[in-house]
Amino acid sequence: MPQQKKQYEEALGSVFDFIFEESQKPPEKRKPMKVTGVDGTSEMVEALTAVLENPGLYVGDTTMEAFKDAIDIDMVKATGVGRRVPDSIKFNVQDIGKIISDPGGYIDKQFTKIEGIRKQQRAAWAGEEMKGILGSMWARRSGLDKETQQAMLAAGRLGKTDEFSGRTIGMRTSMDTISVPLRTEKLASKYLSGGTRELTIDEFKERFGSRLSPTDIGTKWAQYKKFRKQYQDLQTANDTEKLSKLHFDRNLFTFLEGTELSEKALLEKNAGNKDKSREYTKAANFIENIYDPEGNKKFIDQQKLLLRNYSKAIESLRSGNDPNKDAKIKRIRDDIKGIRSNLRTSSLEKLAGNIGQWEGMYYSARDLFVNGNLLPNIINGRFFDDKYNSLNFLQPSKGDSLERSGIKIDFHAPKAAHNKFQKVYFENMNTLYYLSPVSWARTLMTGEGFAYAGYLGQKKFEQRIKKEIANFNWGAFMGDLKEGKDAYLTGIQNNLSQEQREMIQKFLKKDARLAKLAHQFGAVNRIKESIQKKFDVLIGQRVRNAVGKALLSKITNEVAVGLIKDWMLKGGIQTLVQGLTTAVSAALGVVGTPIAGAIAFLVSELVYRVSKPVIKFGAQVVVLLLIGIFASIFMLISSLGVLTLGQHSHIAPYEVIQCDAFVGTFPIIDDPDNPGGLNPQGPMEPFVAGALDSGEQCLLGSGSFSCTQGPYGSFSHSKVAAIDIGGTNYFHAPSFCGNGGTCKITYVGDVNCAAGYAGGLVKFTAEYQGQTYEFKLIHVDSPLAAGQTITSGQRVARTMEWHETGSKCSSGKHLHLETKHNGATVNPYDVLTNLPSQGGFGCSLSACR
Amino acid sequence: MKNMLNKKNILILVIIIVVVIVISLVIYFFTKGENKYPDQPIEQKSLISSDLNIGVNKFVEPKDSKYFLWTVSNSVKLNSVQKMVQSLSSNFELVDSEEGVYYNWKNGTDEILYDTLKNYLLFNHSEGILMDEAEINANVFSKFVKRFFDVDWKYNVFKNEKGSNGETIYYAKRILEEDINIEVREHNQQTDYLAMKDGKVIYGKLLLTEFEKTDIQLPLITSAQLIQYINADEYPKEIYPQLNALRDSLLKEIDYLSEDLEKVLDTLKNCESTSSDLIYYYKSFDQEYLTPVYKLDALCEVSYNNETYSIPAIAYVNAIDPQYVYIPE
Repeated sequence: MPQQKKQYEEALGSVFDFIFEESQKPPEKRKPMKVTGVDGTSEMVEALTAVLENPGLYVGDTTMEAFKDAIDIDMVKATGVGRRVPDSIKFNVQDIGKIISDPGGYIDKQFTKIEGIRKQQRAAWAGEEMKGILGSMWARRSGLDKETQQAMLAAGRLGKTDEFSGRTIGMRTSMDTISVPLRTEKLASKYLSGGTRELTIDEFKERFGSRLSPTDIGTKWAQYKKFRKQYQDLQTANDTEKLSKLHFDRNLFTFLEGTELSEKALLEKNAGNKDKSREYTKAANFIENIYDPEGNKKFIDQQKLLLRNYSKAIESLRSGNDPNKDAKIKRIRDDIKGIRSNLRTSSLEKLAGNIGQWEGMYYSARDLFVNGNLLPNIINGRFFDDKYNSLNFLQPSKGDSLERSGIKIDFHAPKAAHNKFQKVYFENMNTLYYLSPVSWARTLMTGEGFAYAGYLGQKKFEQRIKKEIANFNWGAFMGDLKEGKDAYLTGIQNNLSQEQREMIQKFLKKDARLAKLAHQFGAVNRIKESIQKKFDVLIGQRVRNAVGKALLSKITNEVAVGLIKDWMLKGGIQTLVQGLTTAVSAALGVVGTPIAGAIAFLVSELVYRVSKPVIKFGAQVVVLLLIGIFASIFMLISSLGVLTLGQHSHIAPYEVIQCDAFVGTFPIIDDPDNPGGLNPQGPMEPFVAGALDSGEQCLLGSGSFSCTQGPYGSFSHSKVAAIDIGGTNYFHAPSFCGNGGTCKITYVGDVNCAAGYAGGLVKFTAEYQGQTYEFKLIHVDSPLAAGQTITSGQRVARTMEWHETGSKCSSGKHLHLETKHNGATVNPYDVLTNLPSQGGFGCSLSACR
Repeated sequence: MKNMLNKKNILILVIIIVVVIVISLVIYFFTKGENKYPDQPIEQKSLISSDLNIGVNKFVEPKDSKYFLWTVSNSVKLNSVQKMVQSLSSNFELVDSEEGVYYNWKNGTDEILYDTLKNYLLFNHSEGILMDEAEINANVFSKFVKRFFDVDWKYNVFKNEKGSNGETIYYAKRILEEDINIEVREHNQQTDYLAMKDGKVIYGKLLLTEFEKTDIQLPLITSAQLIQYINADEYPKEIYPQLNALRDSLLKEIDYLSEDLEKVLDTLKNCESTSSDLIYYYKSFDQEYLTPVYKLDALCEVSYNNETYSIPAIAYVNAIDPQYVYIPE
């Protein structure tokens, strides 16, 4: 075993030794751990050292609780109707004794906890209902049909989910998961299903032309085609599960509902009912924007602008001599009433949506502050967890993750602040979390602390590098770092000074070290998750399959069937509740009404009552396995070399990770497998050309240039035989153009990648003595147009500066060049550097990286 | 008596003739300036012809039927640029140049390029150029060019967006007169942009070309004639598809650097205009004239893998009465 790895294992082993053996003893009997080799450069290591050397001060029941908590396994997810405190049925390490002696009683206790939380959700559910009802009332008042009223009811309840904590903001209850997918299913059959006629682009323009720009219509048309294809592919493959999931797609719902309402607007317009048509158009706008905060704000601003314009119109009519002014003023006043009602509805909906959020804040405050819980909650980390502390002004942390080379480790980061005071509070409180023994214990299982150290290093480096290099593209640099690539650094290499290169390399070394540590310390967590998965597959899924099959034999509604199937696959009692509620509501014909919401509660009561004995039974079986599972955890860990028990030397982990062989992420030059970097792997023909006149000049101008990326094999050239050239300002036409040769521009335009603008594109051909060269230049600016003839040595295009192309598709100033010779793709490097006697242009160009 | 009558008649006749001549002279001189059309057809260097057809819909005739011809001055602002370079930092070094063609200064990672292909000045200066305002509006653009180039140009700032390093980029079109803008084909059709961070301009691109108004008026083509001629051979027009509209669809499937994208663009067809505007179109420093051009927003189609995608496009179409314009060989 290599020396370093052995040391690393020994270091970890000594820490685990301590935790398992020494900390179990009474404080006065704990032996302090002697720590050597600490290099004093890390606060975390120093703090950890202090703990190990003075165990009595820091390690107590709280730390042990947290440690055990980290290796508890969620056996059954039993989330309630709401979203507050996690309510899974866990098998805790410390409760092993209780579970073994009374598994049924243990499960009862878990369920009691869940039911308590569900009762607390009622107020939030009422608020959510109000929101939907208000939307529906607006539609009714505007004289829109029943279907549209139901659509407004569903759309008004759409909410957002906070991804890190899983907490729903703006309250999403089971209601919208019933009515929205059913509505989507119906509209999808009308617009997307195979066998339905595809709308032509003209029909699209007819429906959307009055409220969307040509560009937006084009985008909507593309979206329509995409949804149609996706839907019909799933129908053809008979993939009911994915189809069912698609019905829950909010984007699809708002798209289809917007299309349906635009259709209704057109029908009313064609029938001569302009007012009705306008109302439907408004409803379409409303639904398309309602759950998008930016769109919602835009909608409200538009309504306010309309009000102002209408007031001016009334003033002007009053002072004018229009014989029909009274009728016109009356009509405008009616419109104004409608707009004011829209604005009131929007405000009330916002207010109703907030009820759930306030309810969460009340419970957070009660849990945190009542009975002197604040300090313990800070120490045990709950204060920093969104699930337990939803008081926005006090919560200093948000979820973040360190992504490096495809690995992702979650950690707590300070929230973004709006003022200096908040910034200081958030940063210091977040640091406090990482100074608590609980977070160290978690770090040993999840690597979180090292991820946070990496994050801090990254922030510091960002400040320094941006000061040092004004146009440093931080976004491109981080993008590469996340994926373990170095395309951006390669591109700017030539523009960096030696000090700058060293600074970057130093950061990359340290960052890689911390990321590696975070990943390695997360091994236990990963093992735990895989065990959880295995448990679910072996036991949980079998139970669900049996129950699910029985249910499926009775239920026919497609959405409900999809939900049940989803539950059978993944579990989660809420999914089961939703499935059953959908089936019942659809059967009773009460979908989209408040009654369906009440049904949800009744069904969930029923489901919990039915599932409890099933889970209890399962628990009897599970208990027998538990002992075996936990024994396996320790055996697995020790076989991976992460944990060993026994006598070890006491060395802090931080010092042993350094690997001298690691040289950073710069490309390796003089790669013996790819000398000169010119070993293309794609479909390129060898460049064999007839001689040109000896007076042929380099197309890049005079001087030396650098090839910063070669054909194929590199990040952005993986599919193209292209080279990137740095240090050139212009690309010239060959000297033979107009001198026995014919050269013509064949294409000029802008080019965009998926992320944005990438500059100009120019293509031209150059024919000479039976040979045809084709050149394609990207990230350039040209004054020429397609069809124009070019003359000898003419400047065809200028390489754009880095700020002209932005940073979304192009990293720094460079010319992207592709070439063909007599129709065959050839290596541009060869075309440029070969001598004229070999058909090239004799440029001085460095070897491609 | 007879003599007196004759004299009287002659006098009246003479007076009438004189009055007629005077009135004719007055009419001639007053209308001379009004209708000075080109003596010969103008060489249209800013547009070539395209064989792609486009349908004309929702065409709005401009308010006036005649617009003035402007010339592109061939004076370069090298002296002013050199003074600007010196005023920003004495450490700027001229690293590359070709007399009368381009000049490239560098100072570490800061760079200034003056290019006469299109007569643009491109600069980035990490220290920044302090302005009095917190954001850039039309006045700031005018002040900027006044400060460095001593010109009184007006701008229309029509868009801004965030850059990747926290700066805000402001895009502007130079105003020729009244509400007529100069436009270019590229990107957002801006003639200039400036980026500001912390109250300082840190980079930008400025069009330094001067334009001079002549007294030659150019009658515009009527809408009926435009519909008749727009798809004729050699009629000056260029059509540019706007690929940014495909960012959420096709460009997610196709690598923008690959040949597949070219094949898609080759299928461009069925273009129909949806709106029109009159602009002055600038393409290169040697185009000699700045002439009115119709800018048509259009919707076209492209195909990929048997799927049809709608794609917006911009067409620049000659707006001058065809008898007064021609395209050089």
